[in-house]
Amino acid sequence: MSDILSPDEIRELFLLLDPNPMFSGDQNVSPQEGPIGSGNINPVGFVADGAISEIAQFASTIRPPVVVTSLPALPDSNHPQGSFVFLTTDQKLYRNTTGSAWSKAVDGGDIVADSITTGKIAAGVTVTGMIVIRTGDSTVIIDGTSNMFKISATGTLSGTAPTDIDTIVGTASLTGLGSVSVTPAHLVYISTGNLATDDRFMGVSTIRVNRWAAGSSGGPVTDPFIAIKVWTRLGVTLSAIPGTVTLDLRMHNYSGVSRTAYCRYYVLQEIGM
Amino acid sequence: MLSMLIAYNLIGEVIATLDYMVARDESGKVIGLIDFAVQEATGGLTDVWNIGGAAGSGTWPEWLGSGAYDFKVERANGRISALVHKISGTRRSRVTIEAAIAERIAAAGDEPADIRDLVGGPDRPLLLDGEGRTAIRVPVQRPNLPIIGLDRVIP
Repeated sequence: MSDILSPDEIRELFLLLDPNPMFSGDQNVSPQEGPIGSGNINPVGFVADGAISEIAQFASTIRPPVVVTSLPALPDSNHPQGSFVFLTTDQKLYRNTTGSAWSKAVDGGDIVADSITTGKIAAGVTVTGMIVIRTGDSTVIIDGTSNMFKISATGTLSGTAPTDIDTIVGTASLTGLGSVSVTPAHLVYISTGNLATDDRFMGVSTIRVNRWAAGSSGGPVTDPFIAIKVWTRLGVTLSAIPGTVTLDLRMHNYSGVSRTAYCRYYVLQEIGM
Repeated sequence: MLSMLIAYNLIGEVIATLDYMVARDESGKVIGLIDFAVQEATGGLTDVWNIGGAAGSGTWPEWLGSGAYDFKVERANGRISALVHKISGTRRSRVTIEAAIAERIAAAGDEPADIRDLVGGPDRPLLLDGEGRTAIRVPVQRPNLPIIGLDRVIP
């Protein structure tokens, strides 16, 4: 039996000493001044505050975020793929995702379903293919892949026609729309009254009566057919091409009494998104 | 402030209204709405519209839709100062309306003031009763949609 202690015997001997010493793997010895018995090293007292300044001092699988005032140029051995930096100028966390580029992108798939609430999307934000428009308490999302019709102007017109006449009873020239090269589309409803409860007719309003005719030559005049006594419509024209948008409210009144008509119009012009 | 335009004939009867009109830049791109009040004060409203048979036109701080046709205009200082109901004589005064708007804005402080019940809007004109007074708009309890396919007994 040798009188020289083997390394394992030396290790066991040191473990019996107080305070508890430990060996590191490279045979350096560090005294443990912390709690006895756990066998763990408490770095307090061994490592000065702020002493660990290089990312290389961490294992390659441990990458704490580094606080920076500007993004380090990549590639950088101190910031390999998988590293994090916190950029103080925009208060955002960046990741080295490829080894050569920083990314702060967030995958939309990581957003919790139904978690984007009112007010989280700013009015006027443009998304590829969509524009979000918010007015007052309403939000409209419009598909931006094609042109759309926008209401360029809306207003009302009225006019009164005496009986037995076919005439324009109201005209609006919308000079504020400028000179237009294409006659714009329009929506209009026409009413014989201006109350909220009055019927509104799309484009054309008529007052009809029954008339009778014979079903055959010389036969009895007993077949009813519809005749129109009052016919009202609003049309949109251009004063010239290009020219001013003009709306004419026309009445064809053969009802025997004076008639008044009202209409609301929406001038629609096609615009690109 | 946005407003409605009213055109009137020689005896002050309303004959046309304009709720709003878009403004465009030199390239034709829509950039907002024409401020009728500024146009009235500076350039005249014929740059905005011309109404056949009209004796004049001017701004009005409310949106009344076709209910405006029940009124005649009163003018003062080159502007429409009041609308007077042709049957009841109810008078809607610009001074009174603008004072109510200012009071609402002041009460709101830094928050946006909701004045829709005071002035209506281009797509929501005020509802008027038969005497030209603002009526309470009853909220829609259910959409007034046509009923299709329901098994009903037709009397």
